[in-house]
Amino acid sequence: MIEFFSTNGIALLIAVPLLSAFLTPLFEKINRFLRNLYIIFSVIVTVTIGFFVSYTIFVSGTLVYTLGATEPGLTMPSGLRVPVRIVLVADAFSAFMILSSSIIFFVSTIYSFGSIRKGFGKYFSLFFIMAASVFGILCTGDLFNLFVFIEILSISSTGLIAFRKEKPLSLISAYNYLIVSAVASLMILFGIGILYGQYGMLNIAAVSRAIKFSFVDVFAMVLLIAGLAMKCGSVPMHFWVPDAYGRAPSAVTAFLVVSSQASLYALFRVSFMLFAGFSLIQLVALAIITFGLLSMFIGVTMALVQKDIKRLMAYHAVSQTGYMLLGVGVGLFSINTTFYSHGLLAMEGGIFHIINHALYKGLLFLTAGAIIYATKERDLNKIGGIARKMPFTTIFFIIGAAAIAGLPPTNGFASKFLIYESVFVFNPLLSIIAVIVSMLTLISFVKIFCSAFLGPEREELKNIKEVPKPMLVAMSLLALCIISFGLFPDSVLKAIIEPAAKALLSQGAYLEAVF
Amino acid sequence: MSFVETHHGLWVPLAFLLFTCLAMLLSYVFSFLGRKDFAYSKEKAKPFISGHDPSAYEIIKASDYFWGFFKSTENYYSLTKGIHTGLVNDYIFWFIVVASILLIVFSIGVFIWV
Repeated sequence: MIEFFSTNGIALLIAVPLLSAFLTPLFEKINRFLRNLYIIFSVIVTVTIGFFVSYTIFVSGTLVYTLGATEPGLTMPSGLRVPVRIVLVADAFSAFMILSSSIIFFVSTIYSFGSIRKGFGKYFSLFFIMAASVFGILCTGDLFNLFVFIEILSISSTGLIAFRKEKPLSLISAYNYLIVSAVASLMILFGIGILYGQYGMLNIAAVSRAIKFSFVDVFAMVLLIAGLAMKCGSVPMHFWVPDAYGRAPSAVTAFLVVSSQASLYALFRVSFMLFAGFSLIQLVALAIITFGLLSMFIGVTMALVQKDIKRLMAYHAVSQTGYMLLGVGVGLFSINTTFYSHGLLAMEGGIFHIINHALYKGLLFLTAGAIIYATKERDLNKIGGIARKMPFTTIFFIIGAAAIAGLPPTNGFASKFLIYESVFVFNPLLSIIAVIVSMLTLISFVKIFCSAFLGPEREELKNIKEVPKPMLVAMSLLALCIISFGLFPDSVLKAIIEPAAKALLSQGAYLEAVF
Repeated sequence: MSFVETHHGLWVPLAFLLFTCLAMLLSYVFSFLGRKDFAYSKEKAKPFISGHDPSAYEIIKASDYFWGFFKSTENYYSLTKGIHTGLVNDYIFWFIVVASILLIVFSIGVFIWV
């Protein structure tokens, strides 16, 4: 049984939620209780597979699964010099992302049981498709399927952003997201097409071995980097983020954070796997660092002026993406330089920040959802004194806000500490900007806390009460993860972050697993 | 004990937590050393806003916070808010701008250094 899952795990990770997406509406036709039971069962199975696959990779190394082959590990049947079938490859970096996505997928599902009141079957169908596409992006070993999963993700996300179709702004946000995603996907496809035209193959490992870095390859690289940077919400291509994050149901927003991180994963995978050997790789790294700096600063300053609680948090999501880009960008720059060890540390900080961001931003979006659920209001000017009526939500908000602001001893501090100390060697100014952005983040969350949670009780909010239990359970799970990641950061670093950073830096293990 | 070590420093969360608890305990103890006859209910414990009626300032809205900061950064915000139009055409425009800049920079790089 264990051998079956360790062999077929990465294929099942995509297949199970995909199958569930189509079976959920059928179960709804039979019975609501049966449908709920099936959803819970599917989510538990998917998350268990996710955890198991991650564990297997961290213990035994990169997993490969060839679709349609007589054996899952048979990437190249005799007579072939390059893999031609669809190959799924998951190394330690993929495992790290799978782990992060599985946690948020599980928590978002629990939260949805409390927050979604109608259209449950449709909602979960789209939610499962979204999960399958995220896991697909994290596991795919070839460029075309990367595009396919990005497309599936875009379509399912659009459906979920527009889920509250009675609200015109939800529809507009979904439309904007769809257009932006379509353009980004088209550019990614164009880039992939150029590489396919050049080398006649789509397998990432195979292309990385064959690539010659001609001018045409550089053109493909630009299209891929720009397209993926837009999908992960990097400034100045972040405009869709406040629209989409702000208007989607909160459980979806939490998972949208993970889906943007899947695009970030694709950006890092493409940069490190395909272009790490490029003589101008440091220019690529500088581009990523610039995206990071712009995202950090513009994201946080735009967040400061927002009145809509979810838009405010969405801008913070843009800002936090900047930290990840900065850390990993410095890591990419340090390849073959004298400050490689600092670069590796910056990269570990950036990667650690990915999971931390998924946890605390997930929690903050869920608390925002809880506030909107209870008060029916999203304008911060109209909310006040809710801490008296919603004590648990208040505690969870404080934990999330402390983590995003990088206050010790939360997990946000641990990853930012790594970034500050290592990026400082690369350029002190970058660390100073990162610290200032953290301070502005704290200021922004002080504003939310003082205006929404403290202050006198508002007449119109006298009858509000704490949110349903499933929502509280979901928030408490994330709060627990934040506290434990913050108090025991070395365990997390040693177990999952260091292997992930090393996997991203060294192409050897990835290539060896495929060839 | 759990810790994170960089090339320049050390972070020990449990020690931080321990010292924070100790500091809070000490401040709690010190609070008992103060005057016992201080009456919180009297006028001297109430907010003083330059002689204005405090009840008029009871509710401070979110948009009232940090107004001085926003006033002093008006120019920056008029620029950044102006970019955030909410129009999808502009979203795509910025993508084209970024892709063009990247292409120009990398093309120059290829011709000069490669």
